[in-house]
Formats: sequence, structure tokens, C-alpha cells
Amino acid sequence: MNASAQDLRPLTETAESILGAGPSAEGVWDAAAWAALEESGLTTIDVPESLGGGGGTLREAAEVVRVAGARAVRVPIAEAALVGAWLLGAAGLPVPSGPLTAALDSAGLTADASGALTGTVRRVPYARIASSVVLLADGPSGPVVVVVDPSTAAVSEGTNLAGEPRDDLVLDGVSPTAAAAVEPAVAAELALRGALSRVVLAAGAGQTALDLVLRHVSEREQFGRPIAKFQAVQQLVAELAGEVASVTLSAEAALLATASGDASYAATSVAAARVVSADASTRIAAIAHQLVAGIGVTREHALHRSTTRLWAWRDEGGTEGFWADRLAARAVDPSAPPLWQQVVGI
Amino acid sequence: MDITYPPEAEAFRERVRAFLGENLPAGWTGLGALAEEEREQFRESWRRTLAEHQMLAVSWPKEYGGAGLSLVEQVVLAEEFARAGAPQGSENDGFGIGMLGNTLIHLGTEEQKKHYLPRILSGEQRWCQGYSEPDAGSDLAGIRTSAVLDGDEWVINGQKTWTSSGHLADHIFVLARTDPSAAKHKGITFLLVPMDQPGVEVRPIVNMAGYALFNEVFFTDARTASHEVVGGVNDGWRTAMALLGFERGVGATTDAIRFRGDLDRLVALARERGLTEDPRIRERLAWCHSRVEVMRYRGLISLSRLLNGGRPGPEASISKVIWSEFAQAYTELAIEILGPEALAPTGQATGGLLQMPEAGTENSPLSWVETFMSARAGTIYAGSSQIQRNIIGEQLLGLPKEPRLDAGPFRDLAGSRG
Ligand SMILES: Cc1cc2nc3c(=O)[nH]c(=O)nc-3n(C[C@H](O)[C@H](O)[C@H](O)COP(=O)(O)OP(=O)(O)OC[C@H]3O[C@@H](n4cnc5c(N)ncnc54)[C@H](O)[C@@H]3O)c2cc1C
Repeated sequence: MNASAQDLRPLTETAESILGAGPSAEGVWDAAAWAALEESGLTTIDVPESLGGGGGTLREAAEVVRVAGARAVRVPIAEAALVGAWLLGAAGLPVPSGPLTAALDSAGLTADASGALTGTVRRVPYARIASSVVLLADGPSGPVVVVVDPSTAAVSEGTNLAGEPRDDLVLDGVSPTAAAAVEPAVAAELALRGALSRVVLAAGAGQTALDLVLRHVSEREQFGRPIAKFQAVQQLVAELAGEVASVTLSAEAALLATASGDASYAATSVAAARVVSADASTRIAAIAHQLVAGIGVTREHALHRSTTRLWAWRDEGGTEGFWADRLAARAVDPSAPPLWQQVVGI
Repeated sequence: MDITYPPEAEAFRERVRAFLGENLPAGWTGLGALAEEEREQFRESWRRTLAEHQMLAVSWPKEYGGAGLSLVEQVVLAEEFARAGAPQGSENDGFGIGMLGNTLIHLGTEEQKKHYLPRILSGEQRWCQGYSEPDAGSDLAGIRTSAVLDGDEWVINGQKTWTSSGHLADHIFVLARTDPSAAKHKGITFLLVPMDQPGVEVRPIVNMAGYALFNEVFFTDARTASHEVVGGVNDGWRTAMALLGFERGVGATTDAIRFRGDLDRLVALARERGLTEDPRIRERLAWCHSRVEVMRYRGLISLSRLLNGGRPGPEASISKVIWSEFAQAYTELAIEILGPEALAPTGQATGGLLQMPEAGTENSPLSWVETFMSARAGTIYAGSSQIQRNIIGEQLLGLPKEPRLDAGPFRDLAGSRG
């Protein structure tokens, strides 16, 4: 069993105090937040101490990511902590210092016998500002975890609908700054890690949307009373809270399953969590905008920082359809454990 | 049920087709196909052409600059314009023609009709809607902007907000409180106000997609002549509601036409992505199609009601809920069809929009993502979905009303500063 909610509280508070009270300011990225996270060791919580990490748990690493999701912080913490650091750990490579990111999917990237990397990696979060990008390449004898300095690749800038950098990296015979072969299973786990990172972020963003809505409906008055007094509003708020709870719970379940080391249990739980959180994200954003109404669709109001992220994150690391197919395939696979066992993890 | 239009409407269709054939540039596919800087220019000159040929408000009486035809011809025109990808007017026409003009025809004085309707059509005046205020959204009758008579002029003070296209307008219709000692709905007057005066200040509001499409409008001792009242002093609530009926209801006759073209774009998108075999996508496309059909039938119901001399009433709320919730569902489907392409969307932008992209816009991921975002607002403006459902429940179904907390003089209401 992982750390209980009780044990997490000091960490939550630390992360919250580092990341500030409100959502982070506009701009491409928040260098100060990254520096503070890195300095406090929050970017490498569950990396073994032997590799320079904190030796903590996955749940703890995820807690910082959840807070970052809630605060809409413009740093690649989800990529660094839940994907990059994990890949490096699996490869026995130390975590480099400086802004670190990872591709959720680097299919098509190959390493030749000399280790030189070729291929295009799409939509790498914050690649343009990172000093190191962790990627998984297809080597001559299996998968290789590599660290790339993005200045040695061509970076073509893009953004998601929340304005977060999602840059394409074109590598043409690039030499990695570090590389190590890993087990073939790492490739499948990478997809799960990427998906997991989005569920954890969404749990944070969903909670913030709920908090903003709760405050708004109790403060905003129409027809001589707070709009929270209207049953139509109450029902929408209740539905919203239910959706946020299902993302949060599915994230917890997926984290437990991933930490259990049981690959099949993890695969089912993460896929289920991605489907749940994708559906819920759309609904959360829709309800929140409906209730905050006019002021909520403005740039000035904080709501869009959470809702545009929910929209953007819901399909990153594999679309909802992709994960629904995966889940269905597992459910009907005669060689997999019965579905009930997969669901409850026994 | 086979719906056919009367022969005179079909004859008009031929006229419209001929007009479009003669006046649209060769190879025209829509405004969206033009470079961004050319669009405004085309829109302006095209609007002038429409005005010259009485194609802007064909159902308005001839003496006010209309074509003296019926709403059937208006619908036929919408069909043909949609087919050709031709814009029907400019950004402020929804307010000037669709809302204010139609309201004036029903409730305006003869002088007002003679003065305003031709100017709205010629483009001399561009209108916007000054209803909402920071404290009066759903509770529109809670407006506090005040107007006080000073000799033969109203002196207006207060603030409006969310004023769409207000930065492009030179006139605004304003709901103002003229008798704070009367009950909330009783002391309101509907005023026509020129914006080109020192007492009116327009400040843009940027939306979450980064576009400045709506505004705050501040009134500081702004003035308008005492006769610029539609529907009677302190009787503006009735006018306001009639106008809202047009805002929600007149579009209903052409909603299906507007969405049909855009749905075709979505089907094309699914086809390009090789997703037309995917049962999940097929099911949702089929749902979209059936919703557009529902809009078509609703449109016919509205049309026959309007042709029989009625004004859009509470039933307009049904159409409003249907189109605005449809717009959200089908743009969500677009995002699903785009899949990873929606994640860092590229291609042609819409340039900012309240509803659907212009005909001829590239079927790009960015255009869909922007349409998806703007569709969020559809269930908020012109009365939120919750308010529409309250209207349906209370006024169409006769269900009990929410208890009122706002009886008595407006100035005594809790929280009211006015
Ligand atoms: C893009 C856009 C363009 C606009 N353009 C214009 C314009 O040109 N001119 C203009 O005057 N206004 C315009 N508006 C304003 C629009 O009319 C208001 O936003 C709308 O009336 C809702 O008011 P509000 O935003 O203050 O929300 P609120 O009234 O504060 O509502 C908040 C939430 O409470 C719910 N609610 C409120 N009362 C009740 C109730 N009694 N029962 C159940 N639920 C309730 C609402 O449904 C909503 O979900 C525009 C708005 C938008 C978003």
C-alpha cells in the first residue's frame, strides 16, 4: 500500500507553498516555479537515492504533479517526475539538472549502432525551454532510453489549446548526452506512464474548476439570491463534484495499480482511468463554464486556465478512443485474468 | 411530409440564384477562403451590394427599404446564400436588422420606422445590444443603468457589459432604469442611443481564445433625445422581451441551414481522417444529422407561426436550447475526430467568431478547436440554457414559478444600489 492521504499532507503543503496560491501567470513557462521545484527535490521524488533522487514513492511524486495541475503551473513537472525520471530510473541513468522534459510517445525514433538518433518526435511538452529531453528510442537490439539536448535537434514550436508549448523535435543523427538500454517492457509501460501523468494533472485541474465554481455560485447573486440557491445550479454543481471525484478516484486507483508492479493490473487501471478522466474532463469544463457564464469565458478570469488544460490533456498520451479500445481488448481477452480480478487487482 | 414552398417563393429562389451568379466573384467558395485582410473589405462591399438589391431584409415592408416579401422568401434566401457560401450581412446586422429592426416594425412609432429602418439597411448605422450589466445577467430586470429626463433629453449613467461587436457599432439600444420607485420590471425604458459622444466609452474584453469580440460600455452623462424610446417610458420590459423573442426565435427559421453546411464540413473531416467506418463516430454523426433535422422542423413550425402574424414567444426557448447545445456536442465530436491533431492545432484560424466559421474556411484543426471554444458561449448568451428551461417550464408547461424575492420598489431591493 502507498502512503495514505494523511502522510501526504506535508508534501501537499510544501508543493502548494512553492507553487503559489493562484494559478501561475501567463507566459510560455514559469522558470521560477521550476527552479523552486528542482531545488526542493520535487522533480525527482521517486527516483532512487543512488541515482540522485529522493527515494520516495510514486504517489508522492504524483502529489506534486496534481498540485501543479491544480495551479496550472507552466512547467514540465508531469513529464519530468512521472515520465522522464521514471525512464531514467529504469535505465539506471542519473537525472540531469536543469529543466527536464520527456516525450509521452517517441514512436519512430531510432538509434543506430553508434547511438546516433534519427526521427521526429511530436508534441514534446516544453521542448523549447528544456535543457534535457528524455526519449525512448528503438535501438539495434531493443529499446534505449536517451537524453537529448534539444539545442542539438530542430525544434518546431507548437502549442496546445491552453497555450502550453508542445514542440516537435526533429533529430537527424543527433548524439544523445546519455543513453542506456532497457527491457522491452519499458516501451509498453511508457504509454501507461504518459497516460497516468494526464489523469493526475486532470485531477488537479478538475478540483480547481470545482473550487472556482463553488466560490462563484455562492458569491454571485441574481434574482436577489446567490445563484447557488437555485436547484438547477445545485444539480449542476453536484454533477460537477461527482465528475471531479471520479477523476480523482480513478487517478488514485491507477497510481496504486502502477505502484503494485503488477503490469496487467496497471494496464487495466490506467486505461480505465484515462477513459473516465477524458469523459469527465469534457463534462467538468462544460458545467464550470455554464455556471460561471459570461465572466468565465474571458481571458481575465482564471477558469479558462483549468478548462483549456482539461480539454488539452484529455487526449494527450493517447486519445480517449485509443484507451477505450485498449480497455475493451483487455476485457474480452480470453488469456487475460477475468475482468473482475483486473478491476479489483487481485 | 414533403415540404414545398409556394411558387412565388420558388420564383424568388431563381432571382436569388441569378443575383448570386452575377454578383459573387467567379469561383467563390466563401469568405473563409479569402486572406484575412481581404475579408473585411469584401464583407463591406458585398453588404453594399446586398443593400442596393434589397437582399438584406427581404421580409421588411418596401416603404422602409425592405423587399416587401414574406419570411418564406427570407428562408429561401438563407438557403441559397448558404449554398453559395455568401455572407448575409455584416457583424452588426444581427443586432440592427435581426433584433432592433424587427422590434421596431412591431413596436416602433411610424417616425422611428421611417428614420431607423432605412439607415440600418444602408449601413449608415451599426447597432449593438446594451442589455447585460455586471450585476444583471440572467436577472436582466436587475439593470441599474439609469436614465433621467433633462429637458428634452435623457441623461444616461451606468455600465453595460458583454456588448458584442460594440467596438464596431455607432448606436446601442439600452435598457435603462427610469423609475427606481416602481417595481423591478416596471421602471425600465428601452432607449436608442448614439455612441459617438463623449459620455460613451467602449472598452474591449478579451475572450479565452484571445479574441476581443465583446466589450464593456460605460455611460457618463451620455445623452439621447427624449423621443428615442421604443414602446413607452417605463414600459421597456415588454420591448426588451419582444426583442429577445426575435433574438432567440427568428434565427430558428434558418438554424438548420446554418448548421447543415457546417455538419457537411464535419462529415468531410471524418472522411478525410478515414473514420467513417468507426461505429462510435458514425453513431454521433447520425445523432448530429438528426438534430439538424429537428432544427429544420422547428424552423418550419416557427416559420408558419410567424407567417400567421405571430411574434416569437416562449417557444423560441426550445429552438435556442436545441441549437446551442447541438453546437457544443458536434464541436466536441470534431475534437474527437481530430484526435491528436487537436492537441497542438494548426492550420487556418477563424479570426474569432461567435458561431460557425465562414464558408470556405479551411477544414483545419485550429478552425475546429476555435469553434469548439466559442460554442461554450452559446448556452450562456441570449438567455442561458437554465433560463430557457425555466421559461419552457413556467410559460409553456405551466409549472409552478420559482418564488420571487424581488417584489416592491426596485430601489428597496436588497443589494440594489440604484
Ligand atoms: C459571448 C457572449 C456574448 C454576449 N453578447 C451580449 C450582448 O451583445 N449584449 C448583451 O446585453 N449581453 C450579451 N451577453 C451577456 C449574456 O446575455 C449573459 O452572459 C447571460 O445573460 C448570462 O448572464 P451572466 O453571464 O451574468 O450569468 P449569471 O446570470 O450570473 O448566471 C450564472 C449561472 O447561473 C444560472 N442561473 C442564473 N439564474 C438562474 C435561475 N433563476 N435558475 C437556474 N439557473 C440560473 C445561469 O444559467 C448560469 O449557469 C453575451 C454573453 C456572452 C458569453
